[in-house]
Amino acid sequence: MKRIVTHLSLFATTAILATGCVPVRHNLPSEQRMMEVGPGVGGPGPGVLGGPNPASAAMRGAVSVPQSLAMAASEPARGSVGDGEIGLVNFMQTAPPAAEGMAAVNATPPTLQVTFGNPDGMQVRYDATGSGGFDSEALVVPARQNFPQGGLYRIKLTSIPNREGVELYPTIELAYANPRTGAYLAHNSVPIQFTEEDFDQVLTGNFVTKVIYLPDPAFQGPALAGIDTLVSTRLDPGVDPIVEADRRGSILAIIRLGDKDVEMAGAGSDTVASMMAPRVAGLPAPYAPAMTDGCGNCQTAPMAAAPMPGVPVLQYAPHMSGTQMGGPGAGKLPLGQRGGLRKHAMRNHSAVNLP
Amino acid sequence: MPIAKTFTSSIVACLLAIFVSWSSTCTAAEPSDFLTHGNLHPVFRASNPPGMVGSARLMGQGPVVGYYQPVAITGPGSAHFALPAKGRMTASKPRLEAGFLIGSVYRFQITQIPGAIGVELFPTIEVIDRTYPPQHLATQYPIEVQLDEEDFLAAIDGQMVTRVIYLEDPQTAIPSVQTASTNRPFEVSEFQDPLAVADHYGRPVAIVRIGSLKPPSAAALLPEFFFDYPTWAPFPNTPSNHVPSEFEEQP
Repeated sequence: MKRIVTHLSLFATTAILATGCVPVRHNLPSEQRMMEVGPGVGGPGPGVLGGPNPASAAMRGAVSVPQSLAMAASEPARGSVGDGEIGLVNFMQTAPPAAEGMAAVNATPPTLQVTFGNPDGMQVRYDATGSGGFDSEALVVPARQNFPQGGLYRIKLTSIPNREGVELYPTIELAYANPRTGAYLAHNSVPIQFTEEDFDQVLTGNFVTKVIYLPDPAFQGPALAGIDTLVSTRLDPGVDPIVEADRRGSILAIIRLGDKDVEMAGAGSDTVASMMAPRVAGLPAPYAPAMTDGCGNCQTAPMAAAPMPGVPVLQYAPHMSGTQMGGPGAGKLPLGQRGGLRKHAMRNHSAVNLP
Repeated sequence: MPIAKTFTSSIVACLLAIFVSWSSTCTAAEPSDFLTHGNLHPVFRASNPPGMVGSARLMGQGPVVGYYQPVAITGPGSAHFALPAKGRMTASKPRLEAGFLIGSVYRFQITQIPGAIGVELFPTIEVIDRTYPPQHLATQYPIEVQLDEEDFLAAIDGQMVTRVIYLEDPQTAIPSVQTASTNRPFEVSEFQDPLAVADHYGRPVAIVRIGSLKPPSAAALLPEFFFDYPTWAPFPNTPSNHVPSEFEEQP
């Protein structure tokens, strides 16, 4: 009996010491933690249920206006001292003619602002009507001009300082905005500059490729708190400036500069046959879509082909991954044969930075 | 021998008691317990396109949809601010006060910049969360956005300035009085995400992005530039916020 009592007392004493005699409280996590998606996926910022479509962000706010009118009139008006009436500005907005209705908004292509910054006094012309010529009013450097994203544009450079009579026809290839470059392009222009070295290289028969890109944080030096430019003539032989810029960040624009006179008779100008009319009057007309990838068509899901008699329907869904690996069937690895794919590059243009 | 037996039994009892007490007090470990704060994978960054973070907040919890968050924007010296109203800018004033929808992006105009008179900037503000002020005092406690002259000059120089305004965590807030005139911003390095830093110190409520983009000359591009003119609400009974007569709402 004594032993049992001793053991029980020891058991109770040890239990009290181990627990500290403190009642355990089960509280909910903090509000900030409750708003996070889950383990491994944290902030910053408010909790999320999934990445929204950036293009519809502004649209979402506009759609929420009507149903929020009551709250709009009540919440801020609570703080008012007077009559409490509040007038909403831009409600059912009407301002510019093109802003009326969704169709007008959707018809406007996303644009990108380009700044021609160097050399001063140089004149820049572009195709403003889709005719294939350079019929715009001359932009005198420094100047700005909006270009639709995702196009290949040819411009004409004249009145180059210290190079009288020289006319050059470089092309500018503008990429689509993606989650990494969207904020920058919404607030800053893309500076396009031509240096004396560029002109010297071109006039001696060289071909100059300049790639303007927004570097990732890992490649952004302390002194370069902005965008960077890679020039083909300054890189080591064999280094592709486009590949290198794509490795370091997100490409904004590619400038190709040569000495070809595209207005010469019989020069085989590519600015005539494939010219497309500008979607917005006054904006430069592209003569080809850009080859640099972006998120211009990221939101469109692959369309399933309509069933046709005699054609077997695929029993598996088309994959949306960027790789060609995996998934049997046509267009991929033929069954029963060795795969010939040796390399596949995947580019991360998402909002998540994966260094 | 009995002593040894008693001692062994006591040891066993103690171990048993420790095991029972431990099993009763421990809780299931969360997977996130094994991740440090720095190892989290952020879904959003301050470099995301404008409107992305705020629109995601609308899908979260709380009465945020349709709420016009009062915001007051001030700047250094003679800087004046104006908002677009029906395609035109309202009268500029040194203190811009308005209610902004959470999730929408508002582009406003800055003029009379100290050190750069004649230069205009068109930054954006994105309200990504709301505050919960005392009842009837919402407009007396707006989100104070104070911009610096350094921000303006850096933007004019071609850089992009991102300023994240956050509500301090009351548990870790610096115990000093903060008024409209005492601004305590701190810069983060280029390797840090300002939204993540703000999220670490509190609750981000707004993102201001300043660049040197100019309004397009083509009228068809103005809605895109101004993010489709989202609705905003001027503070009531504030003469400085009076919308010009030509902008008055039609009945």
